[in-house]
Amino acid sequence: MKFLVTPIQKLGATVIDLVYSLGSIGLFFYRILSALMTPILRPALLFTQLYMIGVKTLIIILVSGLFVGMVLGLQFYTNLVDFGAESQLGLLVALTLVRELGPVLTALLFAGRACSALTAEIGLMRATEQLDAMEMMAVDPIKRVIAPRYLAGFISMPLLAAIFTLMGIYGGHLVGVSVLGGDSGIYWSAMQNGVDFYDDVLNGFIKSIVFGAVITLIAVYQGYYSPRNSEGVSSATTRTVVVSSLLILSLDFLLTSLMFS
Amino acid sequence: MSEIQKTSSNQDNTDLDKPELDNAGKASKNIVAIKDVSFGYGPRLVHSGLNIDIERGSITTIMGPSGCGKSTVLGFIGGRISPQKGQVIVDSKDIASLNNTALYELRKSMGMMFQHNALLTDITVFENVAFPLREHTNKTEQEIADMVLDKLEHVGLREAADLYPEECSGGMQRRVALARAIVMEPAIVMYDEPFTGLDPISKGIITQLIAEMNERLNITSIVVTHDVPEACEVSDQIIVLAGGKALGKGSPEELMSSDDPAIKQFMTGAPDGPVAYHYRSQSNESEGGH
Amino acid sequence: MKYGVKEFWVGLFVLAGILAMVVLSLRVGNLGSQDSDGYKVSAKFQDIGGLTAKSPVRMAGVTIGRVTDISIDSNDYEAVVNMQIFGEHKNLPIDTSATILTSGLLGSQFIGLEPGGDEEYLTEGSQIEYTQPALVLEKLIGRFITSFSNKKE
Repeated sequence: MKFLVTPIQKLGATVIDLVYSLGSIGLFFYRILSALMTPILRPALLFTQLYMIGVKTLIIILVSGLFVGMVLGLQFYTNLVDFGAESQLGLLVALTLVRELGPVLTALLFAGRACSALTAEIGLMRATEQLDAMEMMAVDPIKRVIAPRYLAGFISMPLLAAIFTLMGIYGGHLVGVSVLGGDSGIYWSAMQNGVDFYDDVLNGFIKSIVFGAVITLIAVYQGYYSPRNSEGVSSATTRTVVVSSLLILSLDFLLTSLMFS
Repeated sequence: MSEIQKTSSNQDNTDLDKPELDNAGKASKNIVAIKDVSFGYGPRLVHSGLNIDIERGSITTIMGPSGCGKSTVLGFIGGRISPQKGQVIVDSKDIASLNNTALYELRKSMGMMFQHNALLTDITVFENVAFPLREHTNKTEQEIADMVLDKLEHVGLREAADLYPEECSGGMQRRVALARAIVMEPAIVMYDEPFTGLDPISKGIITQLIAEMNERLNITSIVVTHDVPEACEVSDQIIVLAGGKALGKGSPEELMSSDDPAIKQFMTGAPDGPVAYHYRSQSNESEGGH
Repeated sequence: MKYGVKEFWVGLFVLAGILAMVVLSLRVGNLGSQDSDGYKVSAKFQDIGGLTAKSPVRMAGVTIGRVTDISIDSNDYEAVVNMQIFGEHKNLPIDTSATILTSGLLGSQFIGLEPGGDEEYLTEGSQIEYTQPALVLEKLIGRFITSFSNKKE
C-alpha cells in the first residue's frame, strides 16, 4: 500500500507547495505595487537602480545583439541564395528578431546578468540583517529597497529588448549586405514591406514588457525570502536564473500562440 | 475536589492580577512591559509566561545562556516577532493592536544595534548614520551633517565618516552601529549582543558609551548579552532568563549575592548545574518524563 | 539635486532605448507611412490565391498602394479586395485592370495594375471592373492533366 500512497502524498505536497508559493508571490507583488509611489516620488532611488540594472546590462546586450544578427544574416543568406530568394533576407532577419529572438534572448541575458545580481544583493542584505535594521529604523524595505529595483527592472527590460533587436537588424545588414554583397535597399524595403507595426513590433514590445515584469518579480522575491546564510543566498540566485529562464521560454510559447495564431 | 480547584483558580487570578496592579500603579514609570508572554518555534517553547518590566531611563540587561530567547525579547519590543500568547506594551501601546503605520511610527522612537551591526554596505559611514534622518526628517544637508558628525564625534569616529563599512574594523563598525541607533535620539535603544567578538579595549569603549549615551540623551537602554562583568558594570537592572521564564531580577549586586543555584551558576560560569551541559531535544525530555 | 556620471549614463540609456523603439516602429514596422493620405478603391476577383492584407499594389513594378482588407461577397461568392492607393497617384484611368501576380516563381503575391485609356480617373470608393484571378499552380497543372488525358482518349 505504501508504494502507492507515498507518490500520491508527494504529488499532493508538491501541489500544496506550488499553490503556497504562487499565493505568496501574488501577495508580495501586491505589496510592491502599493509601494511603487516611493521610487516615483524619489527619482534618485530609481536612477541608482536604473544604472545598476539597465546601464550595466547594456554592453552585453549591444554585443550579443550584434552577433546574433550577424549569425542570422549569415545563415539566412547562404540558405536563401539557394532558392534565389536573398531579397527576403531583411524581412526574415527582422521578423525573427522582432517577434522572437529580441525579447527572448534579451530576457535570458537580463535574467543572467541583472536578475541574478538583484537576488544576490537583496539576499545578502537579508542575511546581514540590513533589511531588519531598516525595519527597526521604521523604513519599509519593500518601499526603500524592493520597489525601486522592481520598477527599474520593469523599465529597463523593454528598452534593452528594443536596443537588442535594432542591433541585430544592423548586424544582419552588416553580414548580408556589407560582407556577402546583398543589396542594402532591398534589405530595408523587404523588411518594411513585410513587418507590420501592430502584428510584429507591438507584440514584440508586449512580450518584452511581460518578461521584464515577471522575471524581475522572481528575482526580488527570491532575494527577499532567501534563507539567512550564504548557502541560502547562492541557491536563491541559482533558482532565480533557472525559474526565470524556464518562465521566459514557456511564456514565450504561450504569448506567441496567443498573438500570432 | 471542586473546592481545591476553586482555590487554585483563585490563586491564579491573584497571581495574574498582581503585575497588572503594579503596572497600573507605575504606568508612567515603565516604558516596556512584557506580560505573561509565551512564544515558541514549532512545538518547542522558548518562552512560557515571561514577565518583564523596564523602567523609563534605566539600563536593563537581559542575560541568559545561549538560545534562551534573549534576542527574541528584543524582537517582541520592536514588533518584529509576535508572541503566541501574552501582551507586549511599549510606551503604553499594545504592540499587537498596532497596524503597520502605527508600528512604524512607534519604531521611530526606537533605536537598535544589531548583533552583526547590520550596516548598509553600499553607503559610507556618514550616510549610514544619516540614513534615519534622511528617511524621517526634512532637515537640510547642513543640519544633517551637524547631527551626524556630532554623533560620530561621541563615538570617536568623526574622521572615519567617509570610509565604507567594510573598511572599518569590527570595533569601529560596532561604534558606527551605535551612532546610527542613537542618531534620532530615540526613547528606547536596544543593543543585541553589543560585546560579542570584540577585544577587551573595544568592549570597554562600548560599555562606557552605552552608559554615557543613556545619561546624556536620557534614553532607556535594553542590553542583551551574556558577558557578565560588562553587564554588571553598566546595568541598573539585570534580568536572567532561563527555561522560558525570568529566573531572577534585580540590581547586579543582588544577583551576584543570590542563593538561587541557577543564577549562581550563570553569574559564576560553572559548566554544569541546573542549566544542563548536555543538549536535550524536546523529544528526549518527554521520553525521560515517561 | 546634483547630477553626476550615473545620471548621464542612465539618461543616455533611456534615450537610446526609446530611440530604438521609435526606429523599430517607424523604420522597421512601417508605422505611419501606410496612413498617408490617399484613396480607397476595390476590386472583385474570382480567386485571390495567396494574397493577404498588407500585400503591395504595384503598377509597372512600382508600389503605389497596399491591400487593406479582403472579404467575400455573399451574393456572387467572389473575393472583394479593398486597397489604399497612395495620394500622389491620382491619375489612374477608370478602366485600369487588376491582376494578381506572383513575385518570382514562389514569392509572395501582389496586385498588378495595368492602366487603361479612359479620361476619367479612379476616385475614393470606385471599383476596378477588369480583373484577372490569381494563377493557381495546382489548378493549372490539373487543367493540363485533364486536357492531356482527354487527348489520349
